[in-house]
Amino acid sequence: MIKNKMKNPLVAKIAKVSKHPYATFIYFGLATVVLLLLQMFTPLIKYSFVGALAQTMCYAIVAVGFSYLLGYAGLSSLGTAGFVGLGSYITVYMLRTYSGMNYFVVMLIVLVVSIIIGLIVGFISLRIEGIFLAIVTLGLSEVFYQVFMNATEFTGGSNGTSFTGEVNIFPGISLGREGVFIMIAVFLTAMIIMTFNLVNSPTGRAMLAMKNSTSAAQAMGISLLKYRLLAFILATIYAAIAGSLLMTFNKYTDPKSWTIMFSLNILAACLLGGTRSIWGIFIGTFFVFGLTPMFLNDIVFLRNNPWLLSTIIGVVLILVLMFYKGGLMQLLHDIKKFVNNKISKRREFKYGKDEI
Amino acid sequence: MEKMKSNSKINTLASKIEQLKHKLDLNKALVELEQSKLDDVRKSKVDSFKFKLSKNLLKLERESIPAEELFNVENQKNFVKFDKKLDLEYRAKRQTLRRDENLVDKQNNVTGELSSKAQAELVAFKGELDAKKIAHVEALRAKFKQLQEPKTTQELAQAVSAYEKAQSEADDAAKAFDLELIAKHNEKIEGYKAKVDVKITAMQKGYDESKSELNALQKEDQKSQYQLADDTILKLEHLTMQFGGLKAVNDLSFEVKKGEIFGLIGPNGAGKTTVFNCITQFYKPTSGDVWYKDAKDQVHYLNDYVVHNVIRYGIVRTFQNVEVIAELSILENLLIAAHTQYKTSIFAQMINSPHLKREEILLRRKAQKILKYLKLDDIQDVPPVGMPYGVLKKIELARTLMAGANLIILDEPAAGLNDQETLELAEIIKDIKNEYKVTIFLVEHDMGLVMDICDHICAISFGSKLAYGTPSEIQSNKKVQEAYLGSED
Repeated sequence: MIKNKMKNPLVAKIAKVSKHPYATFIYFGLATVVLLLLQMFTPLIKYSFVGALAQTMCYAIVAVGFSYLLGYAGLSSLGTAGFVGLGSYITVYMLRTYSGMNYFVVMLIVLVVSIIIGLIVGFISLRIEGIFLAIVTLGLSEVFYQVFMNATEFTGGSNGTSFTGEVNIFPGISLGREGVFIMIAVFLTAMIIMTFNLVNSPTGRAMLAMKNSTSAAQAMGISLLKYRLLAFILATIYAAIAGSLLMTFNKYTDPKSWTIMFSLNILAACLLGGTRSIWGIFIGTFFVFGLTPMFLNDIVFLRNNPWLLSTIIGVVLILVLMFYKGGLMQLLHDIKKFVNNKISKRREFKYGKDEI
Repeated sequence: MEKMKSNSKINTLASKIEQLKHKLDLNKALVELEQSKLDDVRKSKVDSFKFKLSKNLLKLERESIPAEELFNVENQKNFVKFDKKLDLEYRAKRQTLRRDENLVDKQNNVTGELSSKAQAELVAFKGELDAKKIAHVEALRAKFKQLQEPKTTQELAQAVSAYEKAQSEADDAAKAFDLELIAKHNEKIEGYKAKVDVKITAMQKGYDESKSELNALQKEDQKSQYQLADDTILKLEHLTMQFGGLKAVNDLSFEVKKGEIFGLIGPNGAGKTTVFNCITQFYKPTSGDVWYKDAKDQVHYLNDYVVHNVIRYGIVRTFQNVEVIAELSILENLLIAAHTQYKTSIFAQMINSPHLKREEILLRRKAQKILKYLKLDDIQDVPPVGMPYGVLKKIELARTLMAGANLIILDEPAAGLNDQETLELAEIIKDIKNEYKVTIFLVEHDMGLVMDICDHICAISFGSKLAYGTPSEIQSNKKVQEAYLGSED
């Protein structure tokens, strides 16, 4: 053995940092920005692809927020669309009325309003559980829809509303389309890191305890109302922020985007991917929201028959929920196991079971 | 109620004291945590220092090693790899030979011996492979420079002495560097310790002050307050619980003494679990009072408390049909029980603040200690799914210990256990009582267990008290026998 043959400690350090749990999230954020750069400087990626990607990223924020409710606190809500719409409309109203306003101030207003409304709604509705909560929030979603339709001065009614110009984030710095895309990537990364921290903290564990056994949770000193409310408000905040970010990218919104259909799609995305895994939720969101505009619309046959796409997604959803309760994440896990099994079987066939 | 007002004042002070105590504990562990952090830093620094020196040393070391040895050392990995490759070739050949003679079934199991002809072929193949190996080594040797130009013994001795000198110098330098760092870090730690000590003394002073204030308040309060006898920890007075027309518990009164194992028995449907639920406030009693004295000798009127606050005063319960969290590991199940011991805010949890990390480390250590005590430490990272009932019951027990219980309430701990497990459980319960100085209150069907471990027993039937006494008294009680076996007429 040669004693002085050492590995550079710097290499070990870099390897350690790159294995930090945050690292994968940051790589993901960087990967999206790389896609944007590819679109800007090469013909490899289409203009519309980046638009669809930004939209899907915003929806991923909504879905990650929704996982607090569905995956951790064990609650089901169908009011998501209303809160995303709320974030969008507040943003567009502010940016249209006070043009050139700092976007972070707008976001702060969105945050405060969504927290207040989330608190009120939560206090009223979280005393009920299960399917009844879903029905109450369904009604809530409808209330939001009607407000968006009829408060024409604020929302522009069924024609929708828009704003023009760039988004100011600091005095002197305003973002165009690309800037807003990078902002969305940064927000997404920051929010999934925050989610990762929170679900692995005492709060996340308390929510899981509540989902598994309310009586054990109570006996261990976990206040059901407090943590249900917390999960609900977190979901609300994520939804409103996602709505606001989406608005800065699309610059246009109308009530038809924020119907019960959207809430159901978010629910489907969460269930499809696996309610407790951040990557699972990303996969689910991509499947439900991103796949069609990013890739499948390029296929002429599918573009001419849009019903086929919805049918395929519906069938996949049914199959996954029937056979893989843990979502696509569990499916991937099983596939990995299957492949490993196959490889070892092949090895056995070729070389025999006995070693040497 | 007058009683309640004074109580709430004391409660706020008590919770303040609890927080101070928590901070104090955290700060006391600070120095140790800082030390381990600095140790890590020192290790990595020394490593990079050694790495810097090693570049030169490596050259000298290579020169000091005899050529033959150097060749073997340098090519070790290559040899291993080549051997593996040859081995696979051999196995593949053997498998094809077997398959030719139909000696392999569908599950790839070998069903018989190779014929002598095939064996001879295999031996020949092995010889081929050996030749291959020799050729490979020869090729490598031809390429190896040091072997082509062998050194004289004198040269070698010179190289060795040069290397040894350089190596010892480098070792000394590394050691000196290490010592220097240790001195530096010790200084740092001393400074840190002094800083923390100042903080701790200030905190301790605040803590003592608030405590004496609390004591004075309590003393004054106790005069006006409801009094429990010195050795009583729990007292039920005329407890009644009514569900519609059904009286599940009817005018039940008894006392539990401090530090004993108390059993509540009764036939099926006698209302035992309802009594538990009334004590832990899962049900609000229709009438009657539940008094409890905590570890700080403060009397609580439990009827006024919300269900999730009961644990804060040291009352922890288990469940008849085991309520463990299947989606968390066993260690995390224990951390759930420590939920009230976390003091960080939700914002600190979002950014995983250093304060939270420290808390997490300390509570994980505590949990590991308890798991070790109950011999569950080898499965601590596994979720409690599909485990035997005995293990699940132990997890629930561990949870009560983790919560820092003063009064442990066990709802049918032996239900679903076999005789062996029940015996083990009895030992554990007795042991816990002595080790952790807690009072244990249990409901049980298994008469053997109850009679074996309980100090006092209360027997109930249809929600009313039948008898109270020591196990032997209960055993000879006529009414109890009638309730269990039916009357003789």
